[in-house]
Amino acid sequence: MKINLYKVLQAPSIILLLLWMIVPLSMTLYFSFQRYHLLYPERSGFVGLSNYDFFLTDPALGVSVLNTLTLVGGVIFISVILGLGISLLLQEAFRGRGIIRILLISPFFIMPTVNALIWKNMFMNPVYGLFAYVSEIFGLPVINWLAELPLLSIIIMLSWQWTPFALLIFMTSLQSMDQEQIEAAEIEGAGFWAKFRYLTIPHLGRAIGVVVMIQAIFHLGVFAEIYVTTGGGPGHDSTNTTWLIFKQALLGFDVGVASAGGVFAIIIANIIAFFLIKTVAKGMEK
Amino acid sequence: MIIGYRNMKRIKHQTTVLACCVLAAIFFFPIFWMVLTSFKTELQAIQSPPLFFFEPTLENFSIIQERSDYTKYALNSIITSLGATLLALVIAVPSAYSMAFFSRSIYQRYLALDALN
Repeated sequence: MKINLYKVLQAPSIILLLLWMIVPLSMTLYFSFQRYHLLYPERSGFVGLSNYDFFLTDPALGVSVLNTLTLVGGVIFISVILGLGISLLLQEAFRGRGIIRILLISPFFIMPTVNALIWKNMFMNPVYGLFAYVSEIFGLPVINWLAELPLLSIIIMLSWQWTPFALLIFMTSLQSMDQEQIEAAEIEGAGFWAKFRYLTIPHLGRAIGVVVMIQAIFHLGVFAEIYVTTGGGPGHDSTNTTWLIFKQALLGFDVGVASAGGVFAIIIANIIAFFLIKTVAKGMEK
Repeated sequence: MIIGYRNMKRIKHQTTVLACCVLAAIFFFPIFWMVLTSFKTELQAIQSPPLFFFEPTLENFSIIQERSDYTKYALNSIITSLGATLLALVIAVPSAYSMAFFSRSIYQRYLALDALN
């Protein structure tokens, strides 16, 4: 009886997820072996691996993979470090902590396009942006952020948006920490670093794993920020794999090559997910 | 000079609170700036040096209504986000429940319990 209920409750999610995975995946696989160019609909048919050959020999591919990894790694690194630090600071009880918390978490509720527009127009613009104004005050050269440091600009935008997410998860996790354990450690003479290293970090292990995993999932497919700000440029400086595929499919009208790119992106995502899930699962079994 | 234990603790507390306030101000500033800019005219918005004090105008809010059907788009956003959340919950909650309470794999149980939390 119990087994049956178990199956009935899980069935909808498993069936739906399977459908949502199998159908698009098989279609992508199918198109990746077909000639399917939107401007030449009459030229169709099986072309073997030529789509893959075209995509994998694209000189932009290496750059875009490197950009994707830099983006994912950079944002995760910044948001986890900042989130950890701020969540530790917020453990101190004081009046108005609730408001401070809301202010700190608010960037997470900004839409990605709006986020990109705020930074693009109000901060990183070399003429009337606030960054330009501040660097002029200090007599520093004005940086045209989106043109000179496009990838760093996008990392800044994403970090601003995703640090609150890490902070939120860490804050809730820290609340469940055993206060008696901390007191005991303090009586034994443990300093800040000892408590941090032997109590906080082990306690937060799972939370960090979850944050890293969810952020990796989202940042592998960053699109809105690039679309709104740099458009993958200048050159290929801020092109990630998602943008490269978008360019093939909708700017190059070549669905076949874009599908081959999609399959390639799936393989990359799976390699990353394999290692991530392994580490996260290890943290959970402790 | 010797600082007493109590004073030391107070200074530490005050520094922490100050750091929290500064960080919150930094993180919230872009949103504040966006709201402030929404009350500026086109010219004031791109003025350099940036304006902190100016005569607020509601012009932009009426312009966006004229140029586009803003209420409708906002409603679309709300409907899609609520609908997606509701659908996901309807499908995911039973599954997570059954994973958490009937599953034999420790990994699956932890994952589901985390989700239910």
